[in-house]
Amino acid sequence: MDETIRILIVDDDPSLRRLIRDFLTGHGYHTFEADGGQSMRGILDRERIDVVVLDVMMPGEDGLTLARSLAGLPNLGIIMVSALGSETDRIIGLEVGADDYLPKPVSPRELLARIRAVLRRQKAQDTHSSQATLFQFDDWKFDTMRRVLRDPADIIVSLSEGEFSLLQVFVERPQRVLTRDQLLEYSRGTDSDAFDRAIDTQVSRLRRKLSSRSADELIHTVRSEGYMFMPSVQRR
Amino acid sequence: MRFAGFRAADTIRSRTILLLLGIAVLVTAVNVSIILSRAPPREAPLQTFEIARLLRGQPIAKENSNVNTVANVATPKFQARTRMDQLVQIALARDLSASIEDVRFEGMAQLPNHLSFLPAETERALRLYGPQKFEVAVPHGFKAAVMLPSGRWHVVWREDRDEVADWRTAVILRFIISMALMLPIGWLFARWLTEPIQAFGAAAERLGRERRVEQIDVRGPAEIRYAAHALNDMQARIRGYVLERTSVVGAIAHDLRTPLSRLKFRLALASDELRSMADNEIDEMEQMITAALEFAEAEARPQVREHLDLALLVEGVVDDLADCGEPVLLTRCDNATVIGDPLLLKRMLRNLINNAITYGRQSLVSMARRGSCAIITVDDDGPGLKPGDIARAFEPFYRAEGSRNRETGGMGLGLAIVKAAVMLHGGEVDLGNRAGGGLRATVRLPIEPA
Repeated sequence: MDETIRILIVDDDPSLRRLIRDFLTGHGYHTFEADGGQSMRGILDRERIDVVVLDVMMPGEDGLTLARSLAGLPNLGIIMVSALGSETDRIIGLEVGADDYLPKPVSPRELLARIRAVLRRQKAQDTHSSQATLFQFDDWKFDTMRRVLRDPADIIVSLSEGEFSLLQVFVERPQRVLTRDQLLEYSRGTDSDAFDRAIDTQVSRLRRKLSSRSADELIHTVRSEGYMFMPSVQRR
Repeated sequence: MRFAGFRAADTIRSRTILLLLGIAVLVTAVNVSIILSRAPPREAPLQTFEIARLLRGQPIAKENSNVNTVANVATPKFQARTRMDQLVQIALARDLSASIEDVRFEGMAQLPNHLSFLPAETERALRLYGPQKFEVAVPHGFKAAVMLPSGRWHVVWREDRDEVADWRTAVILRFIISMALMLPIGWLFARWLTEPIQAFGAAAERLGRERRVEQIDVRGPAEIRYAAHALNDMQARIRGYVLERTSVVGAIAHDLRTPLSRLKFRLALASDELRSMADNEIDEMEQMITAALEFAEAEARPQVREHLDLALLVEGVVDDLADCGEPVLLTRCDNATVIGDPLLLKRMLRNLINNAITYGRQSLVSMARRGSCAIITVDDDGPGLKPGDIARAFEPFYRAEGSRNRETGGMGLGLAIVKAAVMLHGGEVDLGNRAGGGLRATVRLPIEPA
């Protein structure tokens, strides 16, 4: 089998399909086109496909239904493209099993980056259960897909983007000392643009917000090393 | 009539008739009880010949005369004071065969109304029947005396009992009792009658204020149920209109995104310079589309209602913007929990702060808790707004004169989204120029009692 990455573009707009195809072909991918659910399934039956780029709003079977039907397939990345682009829409897209979600208008380079990211994750199959999106610690609930943190009294605690990324890094690696460099690296990896302030400021802000609603110290400072997230974390 | 189809018995009309019937029954019952319990134990009026017998120490046939006698006393001090007394005195002297000087009589100085006919009638009897035949009845209290041969006196008297006054007291007492009985009944009834009306009014008011899709409870009397049905129907219609309008906005915005996507891909082949310039234009269009969609969503979205920490939400939004290098400062932040949609509230706050940053050099944000309200203020140090612009600032697509240029851009939807979001949370928002210059946006949100 050749090592060329094979991408299936599902969109009801022929000219956009064509443009995406030309662009991706230009970047060395092998591409297929489908204008709806039926032809998509036909191609999937015949060909080995690595990534499906799926438009949400299509006549007939919409992208969400299709994504749900594809979600179980192994070695298939799903990138949803939606013209709605709202937060709720993004959550629904990820919930039905898409690996990533892109709002329209899609910028070519953004699409390329997302495809590469999905492929990277596919390759690293071990991906320490990056599927988990629900975390629980000390009666706190943290939903990374919905980007919602609830305190023990079930009240929503809002975080800034930076704090959110930090907390995600912490809950994915609990009870381990994380250096400032590690925190910076891991949290920049998630799609956060706003992370300019010093990491210590971010951590202390996060710690203050958590401690205002919890008796225990959740983030512990390890002198001259970094920080440690104290509670044990359950993944769902 | 439409409410003929409802349970016919329960209408305001039937409730009112029931009330009137109930009151009539109660009042009649009280009156009857007065009559039954106060059988008039009237003292028998005494004829003069009976008084004469008593003065002689002889018994009389009447039992409830309540007369006291005392014999052998010194000359009594009472005298006839009225013509009536004199007439009785004449008759007594006749019946006792005594001289008029040896008989004393004193009745009531002032006869009550229901006896006022007595003097004239007695006078007529004297005139018609003559002094030997005429008789006088004494229905009230009196004192009578006759001199004995020993020169001492025999006195007969009875206390004046004002029976009418007794009756009056009884009636007043019953009236007070019946009032005391009626008051709680009336209060309960009034509540029964007005509660559904009040609930209906409150629901209608809430509807107008919060723009929430909430069916009014259809209960209470038929008229209220009818009105509630009508209001629910109307609400559904209005909802339909709003959805129609906003879905048009949404559909246009949405349909623009596909050609914009195409444009971006076409530009991938263009020179870097052209692409970065065109990308900026596309981004600007995209911002407008996003605003239009957010507006459509704020108007149409089914509401998420969750408990959330407002202080941390405000802090989070301010921190996010500050992290991006925006000149925004949080000056005060009290603790408050509200019920609401975190995404909408964040978007609302972000729009206000972005406005402040666009028109001023920096934005000061504060959140204070006052009573059952959280008050968020967003201040800027910009030029402020003219009163006419303030009044229209929350209208969709309205932009203050002078802001229709590329620098500030936008579609005039930012504040419309703010307004829709605040209303959905049962709050209020207004704008005002600050004393020291600049604009202040004030948002009041009802908070969850701790």
